[in-house]
Amino acid sequence: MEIITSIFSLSNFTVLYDAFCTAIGGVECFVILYFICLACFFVIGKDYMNDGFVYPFFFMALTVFNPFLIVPLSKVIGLLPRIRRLFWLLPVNLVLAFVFTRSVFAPRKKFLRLLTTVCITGIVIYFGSSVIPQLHMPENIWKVSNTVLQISDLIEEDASGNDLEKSALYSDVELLELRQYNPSIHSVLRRNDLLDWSIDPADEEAVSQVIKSKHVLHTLALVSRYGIEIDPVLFVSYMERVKASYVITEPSRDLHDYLTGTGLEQIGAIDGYRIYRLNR
Amino acid sequence: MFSQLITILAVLVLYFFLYYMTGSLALHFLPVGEMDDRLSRRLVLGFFVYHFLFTIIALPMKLTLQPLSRLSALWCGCLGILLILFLILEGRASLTRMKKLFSDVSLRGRENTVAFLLLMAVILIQTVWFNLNDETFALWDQSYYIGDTATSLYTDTISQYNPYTGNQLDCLNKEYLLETYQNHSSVMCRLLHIHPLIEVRTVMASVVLILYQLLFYEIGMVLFRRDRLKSAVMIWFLFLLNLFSFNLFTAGEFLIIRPFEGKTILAVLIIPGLLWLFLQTASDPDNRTYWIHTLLMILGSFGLNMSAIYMIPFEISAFYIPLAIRKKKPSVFLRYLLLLIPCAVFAVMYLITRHYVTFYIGK
Repeated sequence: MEIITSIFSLSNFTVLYDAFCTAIGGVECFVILYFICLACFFVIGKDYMNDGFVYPFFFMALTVFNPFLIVPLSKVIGLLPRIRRLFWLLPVNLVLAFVFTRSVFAPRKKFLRLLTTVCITGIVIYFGSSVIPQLHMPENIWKVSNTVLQISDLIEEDASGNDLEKSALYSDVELLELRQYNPSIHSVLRRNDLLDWSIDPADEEAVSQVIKSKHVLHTLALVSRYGIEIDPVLFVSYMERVKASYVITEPSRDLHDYLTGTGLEQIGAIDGYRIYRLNR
Repeated sequence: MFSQLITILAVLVLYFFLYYMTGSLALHFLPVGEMDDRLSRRLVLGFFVYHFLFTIIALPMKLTLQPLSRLSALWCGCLGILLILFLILEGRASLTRMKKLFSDVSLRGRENTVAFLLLMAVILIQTVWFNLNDETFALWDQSYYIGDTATSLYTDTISQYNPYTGNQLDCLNKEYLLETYQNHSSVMCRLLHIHPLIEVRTVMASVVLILYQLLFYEIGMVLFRRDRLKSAVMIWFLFLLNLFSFNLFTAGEFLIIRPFEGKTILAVLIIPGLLWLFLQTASDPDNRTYWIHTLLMILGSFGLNMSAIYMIPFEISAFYIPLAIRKKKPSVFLRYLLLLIPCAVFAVMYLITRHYVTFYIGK
């Protein structure tokens, strides 16, 4: 009984509906036009259009896009976090491009074809959501920031000169590119420490709990992610335990006095990032 | 910089040659009936056959914790054997095809010349424009995929190290265990001495962008009954629609912003690729050719992205079950069931490795 209740729960509908709304956000007009095109294909009744687009859609509406079927199934097979991908099965842009092309070639006169093309282009631009403002010119051929290249070079040069492990404590998301460019530089903090784990830095009790737990990486994350100045001796001992030789602080975090007070030496500053070396 | 650009172009040409080679060999060895034999078809099919062959070689080596150098040497040897076979079996025929292609281009009527130029223009514009972008909105995903490629290359292992930290894992990552797409990048970086960021973010990104245009051109040729001009115009509208379909979840966004990812290949090549083959099957269900091509595409998909395990059964069920009912042909249903077999096999492998078997690395 519980299983049946969970399958036909309204929450399954809202999960899929929310996923659908997110998946089509900004392009709702295209999706509506797509459904209109499907209806037209069905009415026109040509086999190849129905076979390719209409019947598969009806089948998917009953199965893949049936919230009482797909949401419980998704929970079992681990699809739930990726449920929005199901909407990739709807060939929205292909159907629209096909219909637009048919519309352009419907008139015989070239002037009318050109006019149709201009109108369609205007409709797409007006009702669509442009990706152009999101594009960003790369700074170099590796498509990582020049900052990352310079930090990598600095650590390489310093580590070879001082015979140190190239292991750095950092938490700025922009520095995730560092290991993509130079995988010989290790990162102390894991994905779990940066993304899945978090505390309220203003909650002294929570901070104290972390330190008492003696969880090395979370304690180091207190410094790196939240700028909490823990006991310098503890900080250095944990740095040594994880064999970290460098700390990279982000522009928004000023830990200079604290880190130099613990015995670290600043070896460089690049675009607001400061790089410190732990002298052993 | 200029020498790097030349290297990128050379690697791109090499990749497309490899896809053409494997596509041609697949068509040579597999029984095929009548079909439209175009360069774009061989390249698209060849892409999946190539990656299927790589998965067969790479997966056992990955699971037995072999070094990347050994996999690279073995893959290089395999490519060498394939090249010899290609030259012997398909070399002359390919030369004839190329000559015919160039003579067709020069002899085409005005309309077909315009179509050809339109297609080349849209491929060139998108490949150059979208490569002049480093925004991905997916730093964490990118950090894993490219990190895995780079770390494997640096440590001479196959996905045995944590891409985020560089520390050795206790066991192989269960989530991406059966995926070999990143491992292929590592192998090619080792063989060709190119940086992982360049191989992934420029070369593979360009491969996906170009194959996407060729695939949808092929779809257009089916929908518009071999009308080249209409197919080329459709590609331009598709370009426009993708450009104005921005949100973080659409296939268009994945194509433009992060074309190099495995999930993008699922969204823009695998899913529409199966539609392309279905459209041809639907018009002639008794022709074994497109069923075989569909099987090849399915086999090549799992190594590229694990989400194919459930997306492919959903998609082909939506295609072939209604078709079998409408045509009243049990043979369609039976062939659909045959297509499900590799999906079932990979699904079982995934479940076993996810829940019951762990590949420990040992320190």
